Amino acid sequence: MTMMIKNTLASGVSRRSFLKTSAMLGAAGLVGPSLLTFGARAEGADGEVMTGSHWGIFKAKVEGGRAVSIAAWDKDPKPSHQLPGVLDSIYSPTRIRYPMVRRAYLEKGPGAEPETRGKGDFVRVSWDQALDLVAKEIQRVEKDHGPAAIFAGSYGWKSPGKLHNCRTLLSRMMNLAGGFVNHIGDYSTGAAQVIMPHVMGTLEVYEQQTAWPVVVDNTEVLVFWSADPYKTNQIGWVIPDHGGFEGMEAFKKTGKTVICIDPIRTETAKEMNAEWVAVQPQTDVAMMLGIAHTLYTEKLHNQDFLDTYTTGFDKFLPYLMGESDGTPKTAEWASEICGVPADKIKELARLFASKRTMLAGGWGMQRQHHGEQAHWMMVTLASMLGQIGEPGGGFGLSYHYANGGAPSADSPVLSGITDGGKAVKGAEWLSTSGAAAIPLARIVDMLENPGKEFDFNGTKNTYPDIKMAYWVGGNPFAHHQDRNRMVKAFQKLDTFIVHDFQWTPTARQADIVLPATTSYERNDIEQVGDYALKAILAMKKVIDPVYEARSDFDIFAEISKRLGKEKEFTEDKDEMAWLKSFYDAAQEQAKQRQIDMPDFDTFWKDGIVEFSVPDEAKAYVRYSTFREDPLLNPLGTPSGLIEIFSSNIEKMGYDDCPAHPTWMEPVERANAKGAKFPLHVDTAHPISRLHSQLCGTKLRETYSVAGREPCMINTKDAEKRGIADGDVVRVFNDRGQVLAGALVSDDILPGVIRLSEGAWYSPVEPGKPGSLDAYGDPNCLTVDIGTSKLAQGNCGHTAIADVEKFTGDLPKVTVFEAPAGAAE
Amino acid sequence: MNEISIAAAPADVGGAAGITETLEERLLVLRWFAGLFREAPTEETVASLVHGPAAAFLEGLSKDPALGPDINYMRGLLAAKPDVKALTAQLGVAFSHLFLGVGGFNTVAPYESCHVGESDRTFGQPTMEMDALLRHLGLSVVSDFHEPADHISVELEIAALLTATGDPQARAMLTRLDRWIPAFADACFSRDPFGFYAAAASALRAFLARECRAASAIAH
Repeated sequence: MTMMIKNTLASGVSRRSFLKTSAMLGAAGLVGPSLLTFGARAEGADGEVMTGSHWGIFKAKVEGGRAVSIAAWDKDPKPSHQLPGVLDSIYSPTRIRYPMVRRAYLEKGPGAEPETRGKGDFVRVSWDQALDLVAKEIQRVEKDHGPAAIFAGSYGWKSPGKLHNCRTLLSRMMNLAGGFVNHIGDYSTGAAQVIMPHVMGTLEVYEQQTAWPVVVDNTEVLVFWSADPYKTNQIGWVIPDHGGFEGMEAFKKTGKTVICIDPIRTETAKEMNAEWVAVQPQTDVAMMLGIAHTLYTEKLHNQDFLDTYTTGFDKFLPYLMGESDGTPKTAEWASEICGVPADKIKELARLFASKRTMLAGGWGMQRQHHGEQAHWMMVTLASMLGQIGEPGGGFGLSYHYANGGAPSADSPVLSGITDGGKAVKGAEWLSTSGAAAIPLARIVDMLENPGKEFDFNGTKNTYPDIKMAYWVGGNPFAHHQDRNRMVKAFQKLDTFIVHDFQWTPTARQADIVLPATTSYERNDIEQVGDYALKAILAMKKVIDPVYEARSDFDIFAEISKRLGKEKEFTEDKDEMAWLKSFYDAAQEQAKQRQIDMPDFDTFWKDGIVEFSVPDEAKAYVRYSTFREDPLLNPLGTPSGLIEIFSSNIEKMGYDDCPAHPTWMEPVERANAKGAKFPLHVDTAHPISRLHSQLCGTKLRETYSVAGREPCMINTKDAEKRGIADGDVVRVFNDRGQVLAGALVSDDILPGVIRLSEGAWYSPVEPGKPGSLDAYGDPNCLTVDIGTSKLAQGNCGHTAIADVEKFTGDLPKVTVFEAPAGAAE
Repeated sequence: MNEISIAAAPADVGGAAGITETLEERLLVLRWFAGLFREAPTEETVASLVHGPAAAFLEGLSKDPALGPDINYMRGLLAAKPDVKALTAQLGVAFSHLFLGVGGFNTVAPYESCHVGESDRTFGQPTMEMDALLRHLGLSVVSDFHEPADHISVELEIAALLTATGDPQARAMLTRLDRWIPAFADACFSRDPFGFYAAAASALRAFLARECRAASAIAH
């Protein structure tokens, strides 16, 4: 061999002989076969492709088969500044490139060395090997433990698209496999979506609002309470239309009063030149009670409205006046709790009563202990003001989400692939299909306590004994509370499978990781505007899949094939056949409603079909028909009226959710007597991410401080602790500790710090509960309890902590350490 | 001297002059680095590094004054943990964290695109340029290597091939590598506490710098 090498490796040899010789060197054991081979590949395509994302419609410029830039659709009224992050996400250095399996799992099987989860000791495997592992494990768990041992109620902001809806595809595959444990509810509105049907007979939080043109023309005082729509309306569950910004801009131009009630001077407060009323966190209910008390004692309330459209005010009133508990809920009483001066509370009561007032409530106020009470009390307050159903008056719980209030176009509703389970009514994320279902935010409690009985909305159930969890299109190691408790609980699993396109904190915790394509590497179809229904968009593939990524549809089809259910899964339809079927069904609806739509081929070529907005949609007033005639148009509550007192909830007898809106101390509150820590941790939605999405992109450099998540802190609090802007700080409580970068500001109330949710969990000691988090994940600090026995929603805004300047050496990054035992 | 004795007789590798003098030896070094950064090592590869042909190769490389300190650091790490299975795991963790994205913020992308220009995005202009070069050469990346053409291993393979065939583009290719490997090596240095790949990247930097100097001297 030496001679052959000698002879062929002379300078000037041909490329062919060099490559041939390389193979010989490989045989000698020092180098592998060459990565180069003969035959040039065709040059990639050039062009421009229009598609969409959670941040809006955009056009991607493609050169040589690569997306080189993206630009917002020219009809987008307010493109998100996050859009460049989309390109980063496609071409992130942290893309998951190949199927990977945790080494101990691969070598020793399910459940092996669970403490090594999160340490990143993965071995690359082939697609066939990975898919075989997944299919066999599903079969093993189904056979040995039954469908109630697999949690596949995967939750999160999966990418938009009616076909590659990975959560539905997972359910579809698992239903064919034999069943699974699903979830009920979500993290956004866990408390509100359960309490509101008792109060208003409907979800409220995912429903169209009184249209913005009506608000602009009629509302005199616009109140954003725990809502920051300039921030959150950037994104949409489908493709956002950004119509809410048109409404807000138009309102701003009128010069009418805007008030933002929040512990932080929000983006909306700044953009709309609003009055900022700084309320202590977790005390909104007390403040609302103070306003309600003022309204009643000053006879500013609308008794006619209460008599005609509500039930139970008479049972609430003794509580409000202190007759039932000895504590009148005066403005002074409220002020002691919420920190807003009593005079301001009274002033607001008088202002709201004297003007057409829209109370636009956000969701943060219900993501806390006893969160059910906040929206219930807001409805009660709006009922006392008596403007519900009037143009521009009342309340709205979705002006900040998905551009609620943007008038709805005359459009068919696009269907999508189904999970193949029993039909469910309502929003897809409220699906209860599956062998069993648990309130989503109780997942860790479930893992820790198999067989334990739990309450939920008047029912009692027991937790299943979960052996396997399957997650797609979500990042629970970002969105769930009390990270350290969670890390330990997930070690109980035999198997944890994740599909994603990026190495999220959740993917790093998995046993089997499968690389999924981004939306931009597959074809799909989606509606534009959650409420506006402005258009149907062809979400065209921008580039071919990179590395070894495959679409979720393909992955689940392959697993179904191994389960003997391929035909049932695919229904013999490929990607484009599915998309055409969804479009054709929409076209059928359109025909019946005399809406013009081109045929599928024309639509696909054009890329979009837009729909017109009728005048009546621009004039839509929520609850106007109820107001016109509550007997003919009753609400979906037992009484048909707004239930300020709920007999159904009374019957449940929950100690943490009485039968009318009530102020109850949360499990911890910074300003409460005996509070162990002095600062509240506000975990609001970030300005430049969609929850945790895009945290792993270059966009982070536009907001991170000292390479970490920004921790906004009031100037006085910072001074007291010797903290300067830009310092690295340690935020800590009994549940966890994180490093963050100080952002010293007067835009935040003293006693409050803001550490936005979605900051990627980056433990210094992976797999070890209690590890210092090096980046700033606020869920290391939050409590993991249900809002109450009623909704069992999450309490992501309930956390108190302290902060100190971090003066030691910045901890050495140890995420590269080998798993225990492997390095010895 | 056109001899690559190490291929068949590892025990003879590396006399006092080291093993990076001849064309063939330099080609082998380029290709060895290409293989090192191509994928996480198997137990077989690690066994070779600890006590097989690759160990002898490293010993030879260590005698090169420019590469010696880094190579000896690598050899020290290998000698300190002679358990092949454990070492394979440790190198696998380091590899996947550094080069496969598992390390999240601490990833060191093995692509030129991420180390030149303002963005750390993959599939940048260098990918396009390398694609064009491969087309020009009538070559492509093998179909089971699902990586862009500006992957460090592909670029090193191309450099080896162009050098071996006396292609006038060899110098430009080496210069190209020399332009971004220092940044890559710096990133490895700050993010690889184990140090094996950091040392390897550092050795590669030194090797490329010398190759470029040599190519430049010949050209002048």
